[in-house]
Amino acid sequence: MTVFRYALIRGTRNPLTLLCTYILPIVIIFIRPLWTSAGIGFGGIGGGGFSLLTIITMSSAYLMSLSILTDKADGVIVRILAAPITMCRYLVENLAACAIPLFVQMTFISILGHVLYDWSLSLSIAIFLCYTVLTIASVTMAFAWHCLCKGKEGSVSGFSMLLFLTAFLGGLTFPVEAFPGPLQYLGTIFPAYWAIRGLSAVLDTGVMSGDFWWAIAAMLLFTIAYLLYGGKRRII
Amino acid sequence: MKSLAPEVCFYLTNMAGFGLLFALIVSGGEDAGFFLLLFLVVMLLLRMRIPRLKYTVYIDIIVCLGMLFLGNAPLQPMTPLVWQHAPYAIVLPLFGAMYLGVYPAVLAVVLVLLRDFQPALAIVLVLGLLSGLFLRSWNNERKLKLTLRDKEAEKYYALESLQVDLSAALTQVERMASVSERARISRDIHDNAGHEIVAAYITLQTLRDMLEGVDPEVLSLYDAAVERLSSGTDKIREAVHNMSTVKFLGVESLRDICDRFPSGAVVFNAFGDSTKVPMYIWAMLESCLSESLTNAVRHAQATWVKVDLDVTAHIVRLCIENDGVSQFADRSAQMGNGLRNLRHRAGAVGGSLAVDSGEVFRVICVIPIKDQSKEQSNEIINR
Repeated sequence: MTVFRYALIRGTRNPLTLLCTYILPIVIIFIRPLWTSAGIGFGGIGGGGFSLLTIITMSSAYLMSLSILTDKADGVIVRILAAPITMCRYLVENLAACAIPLFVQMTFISILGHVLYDWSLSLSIAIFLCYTVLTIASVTMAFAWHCLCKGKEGSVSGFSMLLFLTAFLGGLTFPVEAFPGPLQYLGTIFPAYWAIRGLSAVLDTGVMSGDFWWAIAAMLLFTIAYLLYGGKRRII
Repeated sequence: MKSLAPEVCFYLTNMAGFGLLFALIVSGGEDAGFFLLLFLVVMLLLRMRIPRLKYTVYIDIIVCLGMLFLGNAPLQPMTPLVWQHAPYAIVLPLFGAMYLGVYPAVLAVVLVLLRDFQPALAIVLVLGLLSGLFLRSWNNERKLKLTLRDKEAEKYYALESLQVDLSAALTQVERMASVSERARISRDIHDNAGHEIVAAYITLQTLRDMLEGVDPEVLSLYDAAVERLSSGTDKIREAVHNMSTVKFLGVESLRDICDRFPSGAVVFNAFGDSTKVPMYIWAMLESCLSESLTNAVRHAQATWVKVDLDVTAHIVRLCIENDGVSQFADRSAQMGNGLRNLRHRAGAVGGSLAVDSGEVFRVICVIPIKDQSKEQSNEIINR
């Protein structure tokens, strides 16, 4: 578990990562207007809290997994793989180190939402489930993105554009119904769209309906696709 | 610029196909189509990641066919699983199947057209099949060319290695010939001229007692001459000593290689008159012995090695045996570069090198000996 431990430690060294992963998710849950007022988020869910949490989750996943790209760019990966460790183990431990802090945050948020805003048990579980799967999908997406990019600079600038597109087309900033016909469906290529759509289904009906499970299935399919793509490309 | 590979073309075509299908989904806003597309992408990536899973293309086709047949079910269509453009989605798995050589998948075309015949659909399906087949044919041709190129490269490297070995062998033979000539000169001086001069010196010393009463001036000159002869004898002895070689030659050289071999006991036996064997054959035998002993340790993990040298009037035969694991059992009797080069060298001097990888691993080198004295007499007669 050496790689896992050091990946966690490296994640906390960057102040921005520390802010996004460990502080912001807990802070925003205490901002009541974000979770109660009639929303500006997708389909009118909450007051934008879920959209904000989605953006934070994606950014945290990217920032936490940046160590993979740093290792690749600095050539450290060659020295690590010269040690008796397999590529699979290196990746699994790194990805676990990226995802586990976010899992913990989602657990706290679900519990605090249940306590502060009287979320029902099924809603809390649905939110936890939805954001956990989104976290996995975001981490694997960031991993695939790192494998695609050769330099750190290009990766960061490209991902910031991707994040903007996700927020815009995925209905995180505006309801997708506001877009003209074909544009409404373009956001489906981002996992965040499905997270918001799943949450919307749960908030509308109060139960984990078929639409919710389809959204989870879509995010899991994205996860598999990103893992397969990232695993195929050479990281060294 | 790097040339475009068939594999890259395959993935680019698939991406274009997915783009077109996604455009259909966007225009219709159907979730079923999106899930089908995402599933096809995942399966394509899976086959890209693990190429041996090429038969999973049947799963893609079955899912597409399932969506087509469920959507057209007359009694109770399963609305969430219906996508009106599903027949077009089957083109991509069919294209992939043709590219991967999964030819029975072509039956799906018949099923689709029987179920829902449209001229446009038929054209797209045939286009997908033909494109896949052309791409496969291109890929096969490219692989063949690469294989041929690899074989040519292998031959080139083998020849290069042989050239290096032959150059080294030539240098070794030249060096050994020079050492051998020095040894012969030193032996001749010691055995012939040296003995004669020493005999003359002893005679002159004996004669000294018989010269009593001769003129003292003559005696003085005589003593000076004997003294200079003694000094000359010492210088000849020193010169002969310096010319003598410290390197072992002939049989002794082979024995020395066996004695100096670091691991395990090597038993060396020599039979016959080895003085008739010319120097270039000794160089060849030394290389053969060194290579075989190295192989016995590096590849065969032998516990014992036996070396037999037989010299007859017409041939010299070197046989090296060991009890190690067969070196060529899993390589269909292919020799390594070292032994292959030695075989070429043995062939160049009219001999042969054979390898027997039975219970005991055996390398046998047989080289004919040309009778040099007979050759010289023939040359004189011809003149």
